[in-house]
Amino acid sequence: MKKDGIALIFDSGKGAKTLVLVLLLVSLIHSQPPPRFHINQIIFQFNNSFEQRNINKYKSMINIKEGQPFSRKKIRESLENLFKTGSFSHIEARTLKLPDRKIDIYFITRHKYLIKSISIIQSITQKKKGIKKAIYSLNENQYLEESRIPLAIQELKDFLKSRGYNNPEIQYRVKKNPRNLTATLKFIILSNELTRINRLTMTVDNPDQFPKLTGHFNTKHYIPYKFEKSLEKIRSKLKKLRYYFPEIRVQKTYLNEQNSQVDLDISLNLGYKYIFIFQGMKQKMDMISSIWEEKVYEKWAQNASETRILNHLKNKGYLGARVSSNIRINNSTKFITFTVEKSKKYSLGKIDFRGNTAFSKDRLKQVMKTDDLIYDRIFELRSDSISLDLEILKLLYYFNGYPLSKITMEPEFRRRKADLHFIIQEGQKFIVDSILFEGNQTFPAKRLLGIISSRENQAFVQQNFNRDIEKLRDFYLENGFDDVRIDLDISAGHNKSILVKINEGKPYRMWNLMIIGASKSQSKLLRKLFPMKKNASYNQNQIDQFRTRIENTSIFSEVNIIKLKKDPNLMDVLVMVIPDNSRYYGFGIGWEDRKNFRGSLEYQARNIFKSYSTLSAILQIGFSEKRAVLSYDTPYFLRTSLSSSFKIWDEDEIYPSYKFNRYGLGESIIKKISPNSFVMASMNWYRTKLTELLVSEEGIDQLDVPFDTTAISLFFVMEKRDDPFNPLTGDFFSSNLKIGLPLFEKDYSFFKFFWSYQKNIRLFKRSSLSFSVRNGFSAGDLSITERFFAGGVHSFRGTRNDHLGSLDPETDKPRGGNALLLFNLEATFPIIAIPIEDLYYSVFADFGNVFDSTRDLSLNSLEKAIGFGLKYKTPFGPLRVDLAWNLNPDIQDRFLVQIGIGNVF
Amino acid sequence: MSFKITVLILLFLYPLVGAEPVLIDQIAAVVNDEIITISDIQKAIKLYPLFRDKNENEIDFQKRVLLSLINHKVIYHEYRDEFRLSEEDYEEVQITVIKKAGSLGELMILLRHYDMDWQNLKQFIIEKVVYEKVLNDQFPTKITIPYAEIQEFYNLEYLPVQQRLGLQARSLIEMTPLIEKYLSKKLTDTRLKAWLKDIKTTYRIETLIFQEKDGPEESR
Repeated sequence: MKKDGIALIFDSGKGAKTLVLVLLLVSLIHSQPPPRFHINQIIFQFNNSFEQRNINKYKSMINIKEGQPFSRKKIRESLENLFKTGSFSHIEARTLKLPDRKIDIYFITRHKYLIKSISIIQSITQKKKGIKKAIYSLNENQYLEESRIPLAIQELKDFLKSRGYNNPEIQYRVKKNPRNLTATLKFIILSNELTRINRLTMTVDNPDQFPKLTGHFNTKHYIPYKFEKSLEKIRSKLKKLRYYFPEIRVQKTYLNEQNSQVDLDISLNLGYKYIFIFQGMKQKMDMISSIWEEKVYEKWAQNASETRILNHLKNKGYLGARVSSNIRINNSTKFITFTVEKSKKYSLGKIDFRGNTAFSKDRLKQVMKTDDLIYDRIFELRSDSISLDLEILKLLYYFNGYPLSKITMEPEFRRRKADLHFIIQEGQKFIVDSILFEGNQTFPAKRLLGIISSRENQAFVQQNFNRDIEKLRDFYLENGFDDVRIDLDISAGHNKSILVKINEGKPYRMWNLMIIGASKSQSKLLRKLFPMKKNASYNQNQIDQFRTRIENTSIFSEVNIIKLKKDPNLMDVLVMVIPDNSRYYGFGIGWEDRKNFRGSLEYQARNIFKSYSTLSAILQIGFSEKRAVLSYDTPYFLRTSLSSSFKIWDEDEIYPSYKFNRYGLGESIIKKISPNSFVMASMNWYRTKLTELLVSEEGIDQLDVPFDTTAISLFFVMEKRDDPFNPLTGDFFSSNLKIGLPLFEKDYSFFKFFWSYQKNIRLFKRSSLSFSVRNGFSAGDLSITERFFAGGVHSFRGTRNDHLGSLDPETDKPRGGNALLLFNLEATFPIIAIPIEDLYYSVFADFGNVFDSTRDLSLNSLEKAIGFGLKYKTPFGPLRVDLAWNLNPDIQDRFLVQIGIGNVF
Repeated sequence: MSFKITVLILLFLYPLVGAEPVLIDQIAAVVNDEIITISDIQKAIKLYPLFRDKNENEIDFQKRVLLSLINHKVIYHEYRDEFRLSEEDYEEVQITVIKKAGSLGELMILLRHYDMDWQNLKQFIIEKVVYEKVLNDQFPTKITIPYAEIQEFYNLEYLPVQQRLGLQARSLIEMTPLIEKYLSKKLTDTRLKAWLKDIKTTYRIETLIFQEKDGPEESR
């Protein structure tokens, strides 16, 4: 309800309200409003002409209009809106009174300048790059805040001081270009001498133990950061020699006012040397040395060492182990003896539960990890998994309405087995008795109840209610209630009454979209991508998604979205961006199966010609390939959701049967169909010259005779695996249709289709069964470069790379084929006897062949291979060693070891 | 055109040519993403119990007011989510505002000058309301000073000064309430300054007017 003055004052307090009311009535009688001025004209004055083109944007951001009554409040709101653009370093409002109670309003602004470059001019020996990195307060490609220049100077001074320049004098120059509103910033470091060390002395309380310390210091100049590093080196050297608590004192005496000369007196008190003795177990210094090398108190380090040793033993199955320690002092040496009673080593016995009424034993075992650990059952019970299980059980109880549950574990030892008894005190279950809503004027309680996941008479879980508040908040935001506030009142006791207090605020409608900083084409793109139309319900969630979307495009280095609330209930949105005009240079070394090592050089220019496209140039040089690619990529092709890539390339590649040189150009259009699938259509023209051919020449394949290929292709991918690199579950499908057209090469045309499907099924917790099928067929007289090849670590492991199918009778090299059929079946299991998380073994069976023509394709002609392998899962896919046995008795090398990175399929 | 006519035209045009736009508002300071304007300073001077000290010039006074507004804003943002304000919380500040204006009628005229209604006034004072509430919570007015400290102050500070000035010293019992009040205020001020300084380090505060380096001291 909108409150007027009188109603509000009634609300405003108990003590003063009568007095206030009387005073108000008297005041209303006596105070007549003075006649108001009306706005004649609104004038913007910028410090440059550049912003004139944005004048309409700025005018629409202010809350006053010509002809309206003058209002100080609205002027202030306008200043606030202009400030929110972040574009101005100064904003003021002025008025000029005119006859007839009219008034002109001036908004006078000074625009911020974008820092184009920061440079350092110096006459000292420090590297400019290093000095520049010391400046944090100002950055290139950000707005120049002149108030931050002193901070930047201070940062430079601090840096130079740490580098031994005691009184650095720094000047700066700002060169502003009002035409494009950029600024270049120069910091001039005036010459300054390094502080000379006049005298350096070092006294050590025990020189026999540690005689050669002065060699750590540069004795010519005092450079604080190097000096500190040297001290740190000494400290760590002492710690390695087990003087864990040395005291190093430095006395600095400057000899003149300019601080250009200094006397340094270092005194070093070594403290005790520590000798550790392990009784009852092997010496394990590496386990505890890090504790002592940190800056800690001796007593704390002693206790922490005991705990670490004990945890180590318990994690090795010595569940009943005990550790104690004592310290003995002999002159300047402390002997610390850790006495270990290992007792027996236990493996996992039975697991049972006491006190569980809410969950059955089977349910509790289902969530536990320890119960599944075969290694722990056979070899040694590790206490880490027990600690983890205690936490898991507590969480299970918490999320089922038992927040006060207490769970402990008591082991019972019999022979070499440890039976684990989990003692559970469940406590009383917390139930949601009622859920009520207060303040929901727009939406009925029934509607809101449908949004949240908590229900009456179900378990009360505080965390679920926190999530419910977020859901409700999102719901209100989606419906334009941008100021919504939601709180919970939860009653005490086990039966919880929940009162959801909602302060809805006003619902807003989207009004103007303003874009600052983008080029014309970038602005058009932003408008196209913006999710709300004028007059639609304002939805903050959509704005957040929009921001994420445009940030992900990497078109802009900075994206700022500002809401400008207007009366009545309207919301303007200001999108301020700084285009990323960066130029990137990259260098990399990589390795790929079949292609071996290669190095790459990359150059990338973003947003070229003020567009939102990227120009990239890549040069790859490897043992079996050379490639140069120039590409022009547009993420939103013609401002649609399609992305496009135009490429020109030149490459040399080597295969077992042939080498070729190819250059060409092509255009690809990519459309994302769903979050898991995309389709790519492309058209390419390329000229191929076979530079080596180890099979007989036939058809278009003639050595050193180039031929042209013009092809259109359609590629589809659906990815539904849980992890593309190390999948446990899910499907993957891809297909590629390619048609060679007789455009430049009249006698050369073909049709080619390839598809693959992969299915992964989880077996138990960490095991999986994978199945894949790959099939390709074609028509026409295909060049060897287009034919299907298979064999090797990624397809059929019973032969070497590309050697499946018929071989050339003379050279014994693969000829490839016009059809392909491959099946792979592989089961992967963790190696339970070795406690290494990512190590697995697999058993597999591969079936497949490459056929000379599609007509030859037959299930009866498939080659078969079986085998097993070891896998170590890495973020880039498994590192694999497979031992394969080809079941064909006519093959010479029937046993093959295949090594590779990545999955077979 | 004759000289006389030219002079007459110039005289006639002078008021128009000489008229300069008058400053009515300007951003004075920025606290994170929010602004404080000159009109906010003026409103605070008119509405809050802030008065110019005897030896304080107008600029220093305005600086002090601006600093108070910055403190209010910082504390408001730091603590606003920790509680919900009730009408009783507003009452104390509202009464001081009415007192400062002279009467409710005067206040209403003042509000009209700034195009504000009662709701706008509440929005303006909310930062001060939260600030006062937090301050009362963090720094209760009564701080107990240990008797040993009062005794120490009496012996080391009070007595030597009295002796130096040749004045008759009052007894410790007589002086205890005064010393306690003095020490209590001093302690509160010190803690308040440190507390504010600590909180303000996490905020981006930029003063765009009064650019001299030495700002006024923190004030309550």
